[in-house]
Amino acid sequence: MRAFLKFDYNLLTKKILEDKLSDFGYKYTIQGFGEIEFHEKVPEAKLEELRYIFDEYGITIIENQKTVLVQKIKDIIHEMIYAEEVPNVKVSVYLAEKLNHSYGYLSNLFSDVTYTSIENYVILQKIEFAKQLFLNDKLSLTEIAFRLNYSSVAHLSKQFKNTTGITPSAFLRIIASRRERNL
Amino acid sequence: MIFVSALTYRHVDLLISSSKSVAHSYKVTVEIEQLYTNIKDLELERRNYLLVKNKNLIQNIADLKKEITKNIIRIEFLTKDNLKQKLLLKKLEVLVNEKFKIVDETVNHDVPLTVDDIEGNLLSGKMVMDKIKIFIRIMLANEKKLLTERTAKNSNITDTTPAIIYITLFSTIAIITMAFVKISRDLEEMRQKNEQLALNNESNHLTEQIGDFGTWYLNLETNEYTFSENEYRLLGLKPYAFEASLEGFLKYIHPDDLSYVKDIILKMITKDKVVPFTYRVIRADGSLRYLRGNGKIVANKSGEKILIGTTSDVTDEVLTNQAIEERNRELEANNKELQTFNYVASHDLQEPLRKIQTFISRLVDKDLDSLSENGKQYLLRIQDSSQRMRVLIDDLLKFSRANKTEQIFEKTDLNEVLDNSKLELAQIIEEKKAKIINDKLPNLNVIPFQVQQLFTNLISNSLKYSQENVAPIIAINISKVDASEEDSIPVNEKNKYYKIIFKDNGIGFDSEYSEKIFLLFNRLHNKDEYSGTGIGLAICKKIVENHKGFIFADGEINKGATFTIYLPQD
Amino acid sequence: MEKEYMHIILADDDEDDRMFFTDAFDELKISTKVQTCNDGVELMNYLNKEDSILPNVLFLDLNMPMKNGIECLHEIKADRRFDDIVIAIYSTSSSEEHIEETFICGANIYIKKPSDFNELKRVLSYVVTLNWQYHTSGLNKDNFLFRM
Repeated sequence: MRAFLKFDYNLLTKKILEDKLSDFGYKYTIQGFGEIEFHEKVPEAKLEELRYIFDEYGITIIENQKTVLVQKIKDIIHEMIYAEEVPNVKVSVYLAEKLNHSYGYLSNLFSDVTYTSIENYVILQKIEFAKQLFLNDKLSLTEIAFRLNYSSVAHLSKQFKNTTGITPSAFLRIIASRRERNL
Repeated sequence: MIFVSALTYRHVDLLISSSKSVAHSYKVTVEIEQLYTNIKDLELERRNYLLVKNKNLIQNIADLKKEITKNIIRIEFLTKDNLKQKLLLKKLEVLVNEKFKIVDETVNHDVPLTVDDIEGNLLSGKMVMDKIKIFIRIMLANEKKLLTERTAKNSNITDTTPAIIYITLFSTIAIITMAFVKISRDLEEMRQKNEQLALNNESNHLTEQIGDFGTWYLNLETNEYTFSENEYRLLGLKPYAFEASLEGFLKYIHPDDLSYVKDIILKMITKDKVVPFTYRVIRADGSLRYLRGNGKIVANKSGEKILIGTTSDVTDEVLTNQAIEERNRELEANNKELQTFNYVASHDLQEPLRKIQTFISRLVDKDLDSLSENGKQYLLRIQDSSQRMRVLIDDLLKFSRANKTEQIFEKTDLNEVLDNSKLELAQIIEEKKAKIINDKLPNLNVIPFQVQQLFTNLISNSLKYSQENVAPIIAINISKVDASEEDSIPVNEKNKYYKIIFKDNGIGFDSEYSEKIFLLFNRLHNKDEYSGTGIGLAICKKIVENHKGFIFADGEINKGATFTIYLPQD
Repeated sequence: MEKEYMHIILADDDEDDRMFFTDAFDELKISTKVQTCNDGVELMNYLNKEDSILPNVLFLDLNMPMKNGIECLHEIKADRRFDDIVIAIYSTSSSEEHIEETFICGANIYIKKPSDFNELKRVLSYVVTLNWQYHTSGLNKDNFLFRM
């Protein structure tokens, strides 16, 4: 018997953090997504321990400043896309505002670190979200196009195909067939 | 008939009994009168004795007394059913006894009597006599009355007796006549039927001979077999060559088929289920024939179950079929071989070609400059040719794939198919600023990937052969039609079709080529003007044929081309 | 991609294709460690070894002797140890149905072998980058389907 799941990643990650940090012994506050404020300085050794514990869950403690910033960019993009109410501004403007850097700087930084452009990343995330909505929430293409701010279903389909190389309907077909075969 | 005879019987019975009762009444009357006579005689003798005193009279008197007693007894017996008479008789008996007393007195009185005594005696005698007389009279009257009644009844019955007898007689005659008529009619019918039967039999014999089949019966109750004349001839024997039996027949069956046939016959007998079965026999002359048998269980008029069967010689049919099947197998094997060859060739040719192209691309990339001018040229030309070859092989591969025999039909939304095609060609559509206008398409039972290719090919063609500086417009229309209404569809098709029209405003073509255009490798332009291998439309035609449909092309130079596809509705 | 290498394995029985593959990666400026196997048996042997480093991306040719790509695909998908491997079918042309079938059987990527070297470099670079995105951004690998 099969049950299909949908994940609330925000809640999921928060719970894991809380879980792991409760035994850690250091007072902390979770500052938004991906940031923990420890109320006192944590010794390196202890931090290593934490890193080891987190590693199991795929949680990495980022050190590099550049990487931190890139991660922030990713987080904001993620937030933008997954929001119920998509903010009606261009990504470039939004990022520049939120992070207090010029878009040009952010863009270059992002490409250097991730080897891909912010635009591409945004598209990737959107399509990824579209896949989720398509599969798990069973939204129609029209609804998804609306939710993700595409001008039309055709536009969404085109971008979907450009990004993945297959059409949304083929995608659905394949995943459905996979589920049938229990893969 | 029975009713009538019962009636008659009762009537006769009645007659007899009424006659009997009349006779009875007479008897009673006679007896009573006899009694009266005897009593009168007695009185007379008594008076005689009184006067004469002749001792001889005593004997007479005694005799008379005996007689009278006897009378009374007889009357008693005769009237035992008549209460009235019985009572009267009793009273009479009393009187008679009184009389006897007087008589006895008279007889036993020895002393000579005085005249007064005699007078008194006579008087008392007379009184009793009178009383007796009255009773006698009453009894007689009663009896007479009874007699009259009975006589009347009797004559009544007697009168009706002839009528009854006549009725009985007539009805009997009528019935016998009717029976006779019916019997002769039945006989006639039976005679006619027998004639017909004989005729049928003859006809059957003839039919069997002409049709080369025989019939047989098995009476399931008596286990008797009957073979028709031709049944024997089928085995190459003269009619009735052996006594009809299962064993006799089985002797001629091919040893390999023996158990099969035995099984089937057993099944027929026990299970009432019969299917045609084919088996081989070896005739008396050694030749091998194929026979097909079939049977059915029926019940005859006596309620016996009869298994009727036919055996026909199907040797010609079987041999022809075998030949056809053999030929088919050969053709199919051939076909498969060709298809495999096509597929493998296209597929296997890809690899070396790809490598050639890749190596060339590396050369062009890295070492082009180290070549001479000619060298550069040649290399680039090689690259072109190999690209051309690649396109050709790709198309051949697509064509051979359209040929593959195992195709799965699925209910598909053609709108989705069209959307996918648009998506695939999205880039060119955008480049050329093409517009595709279409009707809403139905769901249809098709091979999804093939129909996908069909649409894509057609639209791609329209895009490719668009007019310069004119944005391509492709209109796709659909309608439901009857095969009979469409001239282009061969007449013997009766089905309903969907008619899908792809119309573009491209460079079109001369309509004299509307059939050639679908030929494999046929091109209407040379390769420098428009790229292409000439397979695209051949593939389209193959795909449409796979779906048991039709495709036609029409065009006008510089106006555009129209492709009409018919796909069956079911 | 910081200090991390992307570990890549190609299973292909054709010598020239293996050469193209490794040369392409050599010319790309991505930190990758590339390994090749000559056929399906060699591949599965390697994967099943205790201390083998599992690849991030596995490029699988379909037509290989002894054990072909599809068989390997089934075996790999059946083993939970190999769940994290992104599988890319790397093959000469196949029919549409066949391509879809490989996806259904669990392949993440289908690449038709290009006939131009630069094209090959482009494709490989893209695949690797894409994979990297999935790897670092916590995207759902189960929905990772890509075709070129």
